[in-house]
Amino acid sequence: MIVGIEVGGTFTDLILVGKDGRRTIHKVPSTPSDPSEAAAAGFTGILEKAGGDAVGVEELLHGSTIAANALIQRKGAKTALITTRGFRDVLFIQRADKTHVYDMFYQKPEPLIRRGMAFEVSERIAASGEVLTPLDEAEVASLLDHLANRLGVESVAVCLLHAYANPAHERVIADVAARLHPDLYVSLSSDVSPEHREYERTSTTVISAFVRPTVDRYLSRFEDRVKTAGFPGTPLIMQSNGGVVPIAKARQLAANMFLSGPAAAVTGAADIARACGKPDVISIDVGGTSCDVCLITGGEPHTTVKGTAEFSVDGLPLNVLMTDIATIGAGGGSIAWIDAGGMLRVGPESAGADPGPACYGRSGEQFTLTDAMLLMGVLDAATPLPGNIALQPERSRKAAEPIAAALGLDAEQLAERVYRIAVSNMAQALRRVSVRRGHDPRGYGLFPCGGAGPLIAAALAEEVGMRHIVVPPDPGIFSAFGLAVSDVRIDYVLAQGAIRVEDLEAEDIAGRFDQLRRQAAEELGGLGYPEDELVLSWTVDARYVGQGYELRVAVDPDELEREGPAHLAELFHRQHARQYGHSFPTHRVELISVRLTAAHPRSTLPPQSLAAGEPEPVATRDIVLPGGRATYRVFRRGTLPAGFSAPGPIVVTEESTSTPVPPGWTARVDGLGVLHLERKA
Amino acid sequence: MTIDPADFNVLTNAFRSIAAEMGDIMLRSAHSSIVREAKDCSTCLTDASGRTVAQSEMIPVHMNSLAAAFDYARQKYDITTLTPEEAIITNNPYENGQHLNDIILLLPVFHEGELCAFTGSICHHLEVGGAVAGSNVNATEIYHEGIVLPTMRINVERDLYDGPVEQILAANVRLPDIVIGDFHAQLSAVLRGRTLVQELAARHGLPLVRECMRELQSYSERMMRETIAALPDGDYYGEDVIDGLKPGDPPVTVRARVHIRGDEATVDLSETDDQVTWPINAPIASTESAVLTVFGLLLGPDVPTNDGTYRPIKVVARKGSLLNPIHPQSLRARMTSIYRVVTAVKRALGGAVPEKVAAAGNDCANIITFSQRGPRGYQMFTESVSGGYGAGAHSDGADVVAQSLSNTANTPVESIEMDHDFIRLRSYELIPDSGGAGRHRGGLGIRRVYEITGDNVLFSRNGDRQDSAPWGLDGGLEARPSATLIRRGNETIPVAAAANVMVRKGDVIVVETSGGGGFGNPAERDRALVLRDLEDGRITPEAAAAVYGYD
Repeated sequence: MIVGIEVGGTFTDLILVGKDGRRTIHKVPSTPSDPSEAAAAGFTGILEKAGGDAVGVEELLHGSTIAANALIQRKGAKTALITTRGFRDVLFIQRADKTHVYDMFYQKPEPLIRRGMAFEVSERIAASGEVLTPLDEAEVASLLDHLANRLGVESVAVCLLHAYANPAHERVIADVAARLHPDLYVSLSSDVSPEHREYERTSTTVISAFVRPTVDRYLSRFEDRVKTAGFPGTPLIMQSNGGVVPIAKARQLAANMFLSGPAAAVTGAADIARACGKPDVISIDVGGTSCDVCLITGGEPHTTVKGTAEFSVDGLPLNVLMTDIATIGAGGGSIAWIDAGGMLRVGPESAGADPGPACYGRSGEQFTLTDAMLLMGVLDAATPLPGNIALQPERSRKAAEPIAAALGLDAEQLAERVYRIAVSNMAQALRRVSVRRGHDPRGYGLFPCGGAGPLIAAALAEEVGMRHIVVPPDPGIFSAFGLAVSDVRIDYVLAQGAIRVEDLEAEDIAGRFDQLRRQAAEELGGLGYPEDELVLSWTVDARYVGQGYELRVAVDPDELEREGPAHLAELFHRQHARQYGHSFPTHRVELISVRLTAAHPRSTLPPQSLAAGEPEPVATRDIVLPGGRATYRVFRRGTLPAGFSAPGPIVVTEESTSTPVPPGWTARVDGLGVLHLERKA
Repeated sequence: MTIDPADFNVLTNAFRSIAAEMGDIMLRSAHSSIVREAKDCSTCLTDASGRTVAQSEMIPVHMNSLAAAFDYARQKYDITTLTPEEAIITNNPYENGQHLNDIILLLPVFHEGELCAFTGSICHHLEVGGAVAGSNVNATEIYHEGIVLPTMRINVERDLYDGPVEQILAANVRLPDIVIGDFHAQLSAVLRGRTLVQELAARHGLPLVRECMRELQSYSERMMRETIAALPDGDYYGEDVIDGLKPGDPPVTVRARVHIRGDEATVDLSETDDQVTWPINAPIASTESAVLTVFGLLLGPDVPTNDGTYRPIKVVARKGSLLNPIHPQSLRARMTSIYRVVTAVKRALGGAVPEKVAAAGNDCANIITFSQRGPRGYQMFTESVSGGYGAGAHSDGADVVAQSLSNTANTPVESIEMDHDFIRLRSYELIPDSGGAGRHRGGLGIRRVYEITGDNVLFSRNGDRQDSAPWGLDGGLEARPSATLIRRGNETIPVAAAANVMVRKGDVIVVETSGGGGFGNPAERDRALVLRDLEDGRITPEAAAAVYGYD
């Protein structure tokens, strides 16, 4: 048995996969004051539901928003920063550019610690790694005494200049701390994010230090509770890179725990995309206030690229390898409004779950995307939403009135326009996310999940020009599914300054690969994952001499050994041309870092059994989509057998959502129970 | 034609996305640090007449000036006769360009044989030739400042891509790989923009695209008219000063008369001093852009700026003055003067509506350049060093942040030292008490200390505010001024705000930027905030006692 537990803001979702492939799904309200409480209650609950015993659970996978919450609510540890003398203000100066240019009263993102908590030590290392000014251990000891004894600091971030090239001074500080103040949490920049650019590295290290004690304590509580509930093994914890690690390792990698549910959903999407033969998809996880978009190419989710917004949390850069998820402020709760210039807009303000869209019958009185979908028939007025929310179209109509009147429209006409605008917002963002990463979204399939994903999928695909949609089973609790299919995975990076490719010796590059390979084998071996079972994937970050942004290029160490290191330049030119449309074959290329992702793959889940026989529509429903009004035949997803195929207009409904298949699209169910929507060329 | 509200929203979004996507391409594929880290570039989409529809939000001084180049191009050529193979290129400040470093590229877009739009990009190039690498305080004529590309109709395939125009450019600059690399980033941007506009036209039809372009300009015009109408009618005066050429020289004064009448504004800068002999003169397109930026700041962050935004605003600048010089006067360091246009106009408005205007910020370009000519050719490092933002009615000014006309990030110390072996940073820190005191405090300036680790290095500095200080508003105090000095052994050598100096191995160069001005009476500052500033070392105990009356 495998159990996945995903803690979200409102609900904690669980999935249990039996040896026979049978899946059990369970949802319990989250307990924000101590999320492990709901997690443990849900664990006991799902075992009861499935008729299983905790002792029979082979693997327990867990995702939590604990790190992100601590940061966003600024409720982390009392943290101090230690820097090279002369540079304590790096964290406060930041990069000095603005996110909006037309703002006379611009304010910077608020750092996690105050300036009074940043301290300097005398030392200096050059870009080459050479020590220019040695570190004085006595000075370090007295500073640490001051922090621990006088200021009551619980966690220390250490970020010294060029420590990525030579971590020796940072290590001395950690050693002195371990000797004198063993209770102090110490995070070194050379461990957390060993790459150049001091602001980004400092920010990452401070984020790690700030949330680490909180994460550590939470994971202890979680482990205790599931042990008490009878689980005999070691829980695996979801990381921002879409993999999991054993709980003991997760305690050290606090900075890698920021994305959990969204990363798990992407991992699930990649798993299904590979399994159903559509390895290039863009996943879009649509919730109440926002949607999360990620590119999956060749079955592999993209990872974060420097210089994009996805590289930061709450405005603060976080430079660890993360699943590259772009969040767009558009979701079911997005509110329609008319701005001061008279333009009809949708979002980014959202009614969320509370007060919620007008049709929820709570205190929400504003017209949202969900209200629009209800009036269009995309949502069925007769079917309550998960959480037993009965929909009230008359409230939607009332909420529409003032806006519709101002534009000379009726409520239904307004609804259509709101839907079109919301879909267009998502389409533009989705396009920008893909193009920024060098890909044309039209070559991809769309992979909708989340409660509202399938509701907008066909319209979104049409707006972007995509012809294939992949709707997974149970799209409403997809993150929990993603947990159940995540590999154990750790990322390694080696950055030692810029080296021109023409100066690289064959043994230099082989030596770098070897160093990372040894590091991975040793660490994962120690965690019980033998080297011969690991899957290694290699990339390098390189750039033209003078360029500031690196490009990530996939490499094969054997090929480089065969072709020689100069072949790197060739691979780089190709990647540059693919991404930007041009390359400079005569310009020099430099290598900045080598990366290794080492994974221990999980065995594939056994397939679910599907319905047999000829399904019958259970009803018909009139739905208005941008292509026009049509009468849709309604099918229950659970009744659809493998090989089912039907042309639109039909709508496929299930517990957590429904998928309209408009005219021009054909629905098909494959052997895995995945619903495909295809549009003829 | 009445536009459906959904169509208008969807196409507006598409226009903005096109400009933004062009900007992304340019930033990410650029070669030089000035583009990639300092984002010193912009992109735009215009209608078929060259009137701006949407721009990427990067550098205000660029954004508001790209379309000005069209005005000249239209005088010189009948742009309706452009063919799909052609483009317009210029960097000529006397033809509505900015300064020679800013190369403008405008590409016509055709749909089914019909001219329907232009995509444009402007990019600050690291090096464009001239008498010295970097800014040249001794230049008295534009000929000393680099290669001039007049407004030309070019054939893209034939003249670029190693064709004659590109070859001439490459042959006249010190760092041809970087300049050509950045130039191709510009080219990629406008080409991508062209494809996107064509796809949009194919999808929605040209008539709707045109109509939405027009409506978006009207929309922005309405928003700007409302913003101006919210200002009280009247005539307001503001002035500000620029450091003289040498320390102690009399300052140069910028004078702005702002006339608000209903929903229109006229900014008359005619009383500004005459043009000067060193390169701080500003071409007219830069002057106009600075005025428009102030109004863009009043409008706020959410509204797209385009041709419509500018319609209710008229700018007057006297020919022969600092803000509209006569050819061939040098003008590379124009940012210095147009920052004073910003602060003079803000000061005029600040008297009328202090709650809508922040105090003066550091408001300088503060360009620092180190260059070295060695056996392997030129090495050059340029950065723009920011100071504090001015405080406003509701908040303190931000510490060290890109100023109103720009949006340049700093360059990481580790990047500088990884890329260049002739400089090293000694320190980079906030200067306590550098922000003007007030009920709201001005943002702090910084001290950045460079050590020279190579021989034959030219240090050039292009700044201001060493002899004057950013002003406070509504009773707020002025900020601490900027300063530059060289420490050589036991000697300390003061350096003027605009200067070129050969420096030696071992020299230490200290660059200090001013903070921003304060807002409101310091005695009224919340005591908790005074204490917080004290604890965080943003103010000293002496200042807390003397200026804030805190003990």
